Amino acid sequence: MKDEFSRAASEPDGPDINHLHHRLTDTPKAWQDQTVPAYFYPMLHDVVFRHCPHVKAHDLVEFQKPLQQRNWYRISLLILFFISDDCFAQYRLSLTDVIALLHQTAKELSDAGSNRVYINDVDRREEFIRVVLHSLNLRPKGETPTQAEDRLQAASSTERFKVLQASKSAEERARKLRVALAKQKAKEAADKMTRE
Amino acid sequence: MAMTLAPWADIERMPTLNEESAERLRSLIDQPHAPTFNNRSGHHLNKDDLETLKNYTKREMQKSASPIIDQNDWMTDFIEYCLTKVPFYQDYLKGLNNLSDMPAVDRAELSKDITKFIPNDLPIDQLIAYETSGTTGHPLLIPSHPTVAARYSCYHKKALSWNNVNTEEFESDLAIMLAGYQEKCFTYASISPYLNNKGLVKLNFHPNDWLKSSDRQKYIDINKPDLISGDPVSLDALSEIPFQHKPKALLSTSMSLLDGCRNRLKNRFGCPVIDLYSLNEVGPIGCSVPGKQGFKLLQSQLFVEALDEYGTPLPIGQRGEITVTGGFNHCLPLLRYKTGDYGCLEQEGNDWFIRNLEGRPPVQYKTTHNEWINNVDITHLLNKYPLSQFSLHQHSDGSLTLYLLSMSYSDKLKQLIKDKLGFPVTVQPLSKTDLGSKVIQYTSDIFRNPK
Repeated sequence: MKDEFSRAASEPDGPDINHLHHRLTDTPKAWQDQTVPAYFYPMLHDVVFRHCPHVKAHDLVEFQKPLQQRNWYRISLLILFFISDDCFAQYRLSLTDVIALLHQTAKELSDAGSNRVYINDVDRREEFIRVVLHSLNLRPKGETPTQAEDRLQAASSTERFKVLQASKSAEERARKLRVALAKQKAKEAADKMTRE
Repeated sequence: MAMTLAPWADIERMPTLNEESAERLRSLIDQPHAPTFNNRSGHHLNKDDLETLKNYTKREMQKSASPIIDQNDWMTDFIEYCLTKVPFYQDYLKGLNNLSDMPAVDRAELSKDITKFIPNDLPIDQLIAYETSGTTGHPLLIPSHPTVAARYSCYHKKALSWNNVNTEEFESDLAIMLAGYQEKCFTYASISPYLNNKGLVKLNFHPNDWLKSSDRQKYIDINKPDLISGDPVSLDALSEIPFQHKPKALLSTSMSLLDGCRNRLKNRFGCPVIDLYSLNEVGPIGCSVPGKQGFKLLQSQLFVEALDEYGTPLPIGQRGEITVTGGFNHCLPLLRYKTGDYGCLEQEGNDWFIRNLEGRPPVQYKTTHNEWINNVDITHLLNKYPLSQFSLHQHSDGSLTLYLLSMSYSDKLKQLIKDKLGFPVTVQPLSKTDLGSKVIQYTSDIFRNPK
């Protein structure tokens, strides 16, 4: 957890946080509910392209899955609307950061809350904004790196801490599974009457 | 230095080994005409596991499979389990409960990160793994467990019983021989507690594995395996070895078994030849039964669908991608897994069958009259010939190359294909390096333009 917050020190000055609160509350009603529209992928492509014109189709394969297969696309959608605000146009965003924001960060935010919560609950809205800025290596306008770091930590909800913890455990289990499977691959398995 | 136990004293791999079965195993290995067994394997099951397997088999033998969703009362709990315990499905849109709302997943998704398909509550220490290369370029490491490997026996017994073969009536000390024919092959001898503590050997009949070539027939005639399993290429090679023994049945897996090849094996071995449709991902899906076409569905808790290219289930009788949900491998619960094989589901009496099964998407061949012939029709055309393995390729100029393992029927087959498609056909031998691997049967350089 510490690593995440210490990164804030290198983040450049970003947009005004009050403006971003308004941006989030201006989210179209249709995008606040459970449904991800069919035009999700084209829209995602356009927004990413606007910030990172060198993006290639293969960078975005994770966003071309069936909509039912990725619950967190709803948060990606919210982020897309959020970072489409003109105030982000002046920043040079890295493609890696943008994709990580729309994928891993969206997944974490999705596990910790819903679009409606992040839009309508003022504290969770603050959390959403700070997490997104942090993922893009930005900090709210006028804040020092230390202030941004402290406020990100203060704004992070218990739900999100739990999600980050669970996500670390899941990564550790996946690592152990990979090691176990690789070890087993080198050994014989168990008798079967046929081979496929 | 740790001492290596003799295979017949290997209670680590065969925890229930007793004096009688140890002696049985010793005699299968320690005899003059035996090959060198270059590996070790075992069932890894304890007494409790065997009791559970016995009950599982007893229950499953009574049950039938149905592709009608309402006849699968296990489905709701299974879906709920997947959505709550399996990382990949945990990402699914909240509120999905019905199978019809679930998106399908394919082998590429499994290949990308198989750990996402392993349930969170599954202990890691007992995992085993089977490696599979397939024909799609997506190698897979299938997580499994000794109890899962043992459950194969349940479905093999079911398939055998539908072909009037009862494993309880086996007489030999060697219950089953897995036959391979490859330059290099994993071989071992073991004891199967689910086959009355009789022997199980996995052998390679390539002459390289034997001191003398004639030892192969002597080993079979001395040990008289009740069952022989293998792919059509291995079984075909086995049929050339002049042994006298007649097994009770042959189980054919891994590749398409054409009727001509099946009849040849049946005549040579004098026993039923059972064709199994089986995948590493889910085990045996269906088997051939006497007097019926196709593969009768085996697993009562494996839901089979045929989906169109958009993932929509097709009506009964229409051909689509065979897609499965459920299965007996609790280490890899599958929700709408697209197998990459194509076929249709049909009912006959109370039984359900997969028919017109072909691996990979359908390939269409162009005729000189600008008509299109489906690869299923080519299979029907060649069906009566004893071909253990073949492939057909259409070049961009329309000409065709037929690849065959044996040239016995090459002129006849060449003529048949020429008569059907009109273009010139050349025949070439199937590369020896393809032996033992899955060959892509139908390919074409000509793509049909959409209307």
